[in-house]
Amino acid sequence: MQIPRSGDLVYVRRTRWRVVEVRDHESCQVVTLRGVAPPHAGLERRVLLPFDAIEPAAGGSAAPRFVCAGVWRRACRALLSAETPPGSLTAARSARIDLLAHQLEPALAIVRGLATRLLLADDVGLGKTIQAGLVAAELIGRGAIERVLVLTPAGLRDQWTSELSRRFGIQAASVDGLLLRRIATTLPIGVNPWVTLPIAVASVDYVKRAEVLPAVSACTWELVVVDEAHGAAGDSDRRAAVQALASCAAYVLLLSATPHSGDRAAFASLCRLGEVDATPLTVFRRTRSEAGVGTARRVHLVRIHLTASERRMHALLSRYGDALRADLGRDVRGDTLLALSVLHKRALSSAWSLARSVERRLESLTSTAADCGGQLALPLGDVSGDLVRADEPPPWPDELRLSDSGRERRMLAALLETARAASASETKVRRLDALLRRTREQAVVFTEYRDTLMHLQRRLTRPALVLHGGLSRVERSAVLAEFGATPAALLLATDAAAEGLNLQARCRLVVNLELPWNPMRLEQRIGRVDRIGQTRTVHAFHLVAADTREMRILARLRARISNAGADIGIVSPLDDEEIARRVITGDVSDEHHDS
Amino acid sequence: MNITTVDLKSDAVVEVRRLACARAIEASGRGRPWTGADRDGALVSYARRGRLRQALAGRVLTIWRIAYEDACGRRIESRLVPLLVDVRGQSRPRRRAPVRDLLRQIEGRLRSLVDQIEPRWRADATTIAAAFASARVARERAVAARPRDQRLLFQPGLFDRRSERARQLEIDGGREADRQAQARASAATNSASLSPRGGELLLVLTP
Repeated sequence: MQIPRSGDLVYVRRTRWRVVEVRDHESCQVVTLRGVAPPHAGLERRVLLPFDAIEPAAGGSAAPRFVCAGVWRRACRALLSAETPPGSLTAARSARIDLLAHQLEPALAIVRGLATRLLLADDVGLGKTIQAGLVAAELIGRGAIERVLVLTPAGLRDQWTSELSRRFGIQAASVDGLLLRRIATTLPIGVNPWVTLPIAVASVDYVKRAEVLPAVSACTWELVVVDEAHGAAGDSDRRAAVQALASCAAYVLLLSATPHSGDRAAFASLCRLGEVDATPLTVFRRTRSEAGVGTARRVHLVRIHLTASERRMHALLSRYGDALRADLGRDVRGDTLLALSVLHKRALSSAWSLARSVERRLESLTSTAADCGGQLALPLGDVSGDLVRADEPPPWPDELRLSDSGRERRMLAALLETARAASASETKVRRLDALLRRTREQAVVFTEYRDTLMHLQRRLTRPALVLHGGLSRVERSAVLAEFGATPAALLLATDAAAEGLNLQARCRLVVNLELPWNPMRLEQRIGRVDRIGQTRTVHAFHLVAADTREMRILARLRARISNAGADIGIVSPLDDEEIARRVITGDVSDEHHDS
Repeated sequence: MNITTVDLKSDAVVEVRRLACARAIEASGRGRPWTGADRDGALVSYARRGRLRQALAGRVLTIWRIAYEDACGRRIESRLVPLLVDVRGQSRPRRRAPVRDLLRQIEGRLRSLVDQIEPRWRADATTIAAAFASARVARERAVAARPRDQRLLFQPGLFDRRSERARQLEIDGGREADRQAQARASAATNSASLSPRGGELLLVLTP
């Protein structure tokens, strides 16, 4: 069979096509065809030679065709609108996006050969998904790539597939264990199901699994997009997986609104993702003001004064920490101190959260069962890779124990009793309740821990929806749909579950129950509502417990933000405490802030 | 840190204007969008409105497409070129047969003319396409040349051979990935060459 040339008119399966491209492979040719007659007119299809019969179309001469003026005008209009100068974009014209200059820059850089590995580090909410979609659509449209892998947090897979399809007409598969198993049943044994997915959106935590990664990396991925790439900056399995995939790809896009947590080593590690030679990483970082979009943001720091029982709880926890330090003496290790500080974090999040941790510890001290805390948990309950465990209570490390177990039990029992008493009426919860009663708008309340989240749901007078890492994909979708449809809905969310979500359509109020240690997380939280499409002033409230370690966290956050600002320029998400105090106590109305 | 930035702000603003204009042109028409761009033969129509005929002033408007294609034959860059042909004195230009004859007479000459014009566009098209291709080729070559990470420590099983099989699979997978990377690098190199495609007559409007 004669191999056709591009531009030839041919018959394939009794339909007339124009040959667009003929790509040689080892023992076959992939022929890309474009339909010239209804119902395939304008559609691209691929066939394999010699397995498909391709016959030259007789009468494919260039004889002129006489058409009426309307058809001629339509043809002329189509040709003129499709006219693209060298180095310009072809996919953006038909993409369902608003044309914003900053969103075109990364695709322009790739099309002009200025970059193959990019970090899109724009402020939260400036449309990094759209920029990545544009790059993918442009490269696919030019025939430069065929296989795309998007690595994203589990909760954002559906959002990605929907955006790619709706805005760019790219049909991507949202990949999880169930889908792969379903595909595998239709394939011969030994065929890698990932090979059958040219455009895949998968959870990075699913892909990093030891039983999944080899199959993913056995495929060729020409474009690898890593959403929320800061999550792969540290030395972890996640980083190893992303590095293994990105370092084999022709194009790499790293997306993160918060690439710099103030830790320069972590930022350098992020910048090395996908590095294979001395070619530098091309960074795009635009602020809202540079991009000329976004509304005003008011950030309010609310100092909370704790009750006597809460103060006593913090004092008892400090005493337990001192006892541990004295007991361990010079042998105290960094991770022991870290584990201890996590307990303090939980106490600052909610007394209930600390009580739950201490309860578990006491249970394990009194339990006679063999300790299996050191054994790696198998992902048996999460075959689809939907669940996120980051908001679960961290395990109590073995090192965090007193040599005198009786004394430890006594101290922890006292701590538990005080924490339970404090949790009956927590100041932060009351203040939050007061704040939420003052508004009938939608609001999102963030906390780091699932225990605190569930406690809040029980304690708040306003009914609330919850979004945490323990929800399946279907449950998450249902919660988000209900939040979107209910005008005065309140959403309680953990960081792990809410990363990357678009909640700006009807919500502009974010409350942080506790300060995270990482400034990126703070920015990520506010960024759920402060993004393109938000039309009103965004209000963010940080509830900070005065006279506690949270004030130290605040100081450290400021230092880290200043570090990050010096390296790449970050706007501080911390200010305006006086106005917040007034709002909580009712001194001024909400409208006063905007003035 | 090995990072860089590129400033494409002004280019992006120009691009936004161009795209807005393209969308406006596309949206200005009634009816469904035209999808017959790949049908064979130029589309010929007659100018019916007086002002249009006046503007043509006895000339035939021909619209051509010049293009560059890659080694696979895919059109990489293209440009529309309008040419006016003076037909004053020609008989009955509004009948089909004379128009066909006229096009037969002029098409060859016009095509050779079209293939030589627009030198600036040709230079830009080849430069940018070469930059795009060379960035890709450089990356693919670097990927192919990169030493593969392999576990250095390996503990064979005492009573079963699962870990050995897994190790063998890993080695085979690594070899296959290397082979694929080499193949992609050479495919990228091969498809980097551009060649001009002869002018293609798309539209004709007679006075």
